Amino acid sequence: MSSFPPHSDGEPFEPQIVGLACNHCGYASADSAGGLRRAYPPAISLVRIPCTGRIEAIHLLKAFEAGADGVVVVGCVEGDCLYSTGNLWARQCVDHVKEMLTETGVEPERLEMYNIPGPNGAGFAATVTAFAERIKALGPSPAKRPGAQPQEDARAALGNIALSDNDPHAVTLEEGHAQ
Amino acid sequence: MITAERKPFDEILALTAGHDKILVAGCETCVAVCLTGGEKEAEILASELRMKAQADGRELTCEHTAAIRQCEWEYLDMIADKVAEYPVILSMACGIGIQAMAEKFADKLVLPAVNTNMLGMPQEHAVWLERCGACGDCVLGVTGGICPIVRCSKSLLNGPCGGSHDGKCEVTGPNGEEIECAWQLIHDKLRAQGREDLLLAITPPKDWSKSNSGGPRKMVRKEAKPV
Repeated sequence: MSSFPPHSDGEPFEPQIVGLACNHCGYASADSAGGLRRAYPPAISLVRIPCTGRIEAIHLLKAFEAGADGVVVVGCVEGDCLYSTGNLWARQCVDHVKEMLTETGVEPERLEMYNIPGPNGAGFAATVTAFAERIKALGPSPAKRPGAQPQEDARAALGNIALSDNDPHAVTLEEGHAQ
Repeated sequence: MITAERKPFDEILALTAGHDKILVAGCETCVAVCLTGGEKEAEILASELRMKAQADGRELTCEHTAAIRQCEWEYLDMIADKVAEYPVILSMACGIGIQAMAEKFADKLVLPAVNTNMLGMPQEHAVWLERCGACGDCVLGVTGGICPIVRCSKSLLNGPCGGSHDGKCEVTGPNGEEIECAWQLIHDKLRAQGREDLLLAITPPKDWSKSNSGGPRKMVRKEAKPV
C-alpha cells in the first residue's frame, strides 16, 4: 500500500487519489504492475473490492469527502466481469456520481472508471499515471477539507466494501482473467 | 406504495440557503423502496450538501438520520434526540412524513427534499408506474382490475375515447413515450373474462367529493379506538 506524500502550501501539488480496484482485474493488474516494476504515482491509494459492482454512490462521495483530489475505479472489461454485470452497474453509478459532483461544484473529471483486462500491469500503470496527471492539472479538489487524510479516512469510509490486504481469497497474478 | 422523486439539487440549495446546521431525515418505508428518500439516499444528500458547502467555502454541519416511518408519531420519537440537535430538518419522506415532522417538531424548520408524485408500483427494477388515484370510490370491480382514473389520460369512466389508436393513447408521456390506452386494456380484459356486457352499462358521473375535491379526508375506525 502506497502512502501519500506530505502536502503543504509551499510544496508542489501532488494529487491524492483513491483507487477502487476490483479483485479480479483492477487489483490483479496493479499487482502485476508491481511484479513488472512498472511505476505509477505513489499517491494513488488502492482499495481492493470484490467487484466494482459493489460500489454505491455514497462510497465515491465518501472518498471525495475524505479528501481525495481524484477517485479512479478500475474494473474488468465490459462483458468479462466475473460477476457478469458488476462493471456495467459500476459504470452507471460513476456516471450518476459525476452528475452529483458537477452539482456540488467539483469537476466531474476528478472521477473516472477504466476497464482493464487483468492482469495487465503495463496497462494499469499507464492508465492511472495518465489519470494522476489529469488530476494534477486540475489542482486540489474544491471539496477537500483542511487536514484531510484521504488514505486513512477513505479506507475507513470504505471499510465495509474493502477486502483486507491479507484476504485469503485475493486473486494472485496467475489467477486473474486470461487476456 | 407512495413514490417520490428528489428535488433538483439547486432547489434544495435554495431552500436551505442561509442555514448552517441541517439534518437530512430519510424515511425507511415507501420512499426507501423507490430509492429516493431512505437512509442511503439521506446519507448521499448530506454528503453532497457538505461537499457543496466545502467547495463554496461555507461552514455547514450536516448529518443524516432516518425514521422507520416518518408518518407515525411513535417512529418520530425514535429520532427525536438527533432532531433536537438541529434547527433545520430536510425531510426526504413523502408529503405525509414531512408534515408529520413539521407538526411533531414544531420548533424546527422542516423543509422538503423530495416531490411526492404518485401511488405506484415497480413495473420493473427502477421503473414505477402510477396505479391508484386514491379517489375514495374504487371502480376496479367493473373495469377488469385496471384503473381508468389514473391510467386513462382523461380519467374517463366510459371509454375508450376517439384518441385510442392501436391500443395506444393519443397522449404521450413527458418524454414522448407511448401510453397504453387504459380502456383498450379494460376492454381486452373484460372480453377475456366473458364480462364484455359491463362495457354496455353507462357509468354515471363520479362523486368526486370522496376524492380530494371534498376537502381534507378523514378516516375513523370506531372499533379500533382506544377505550
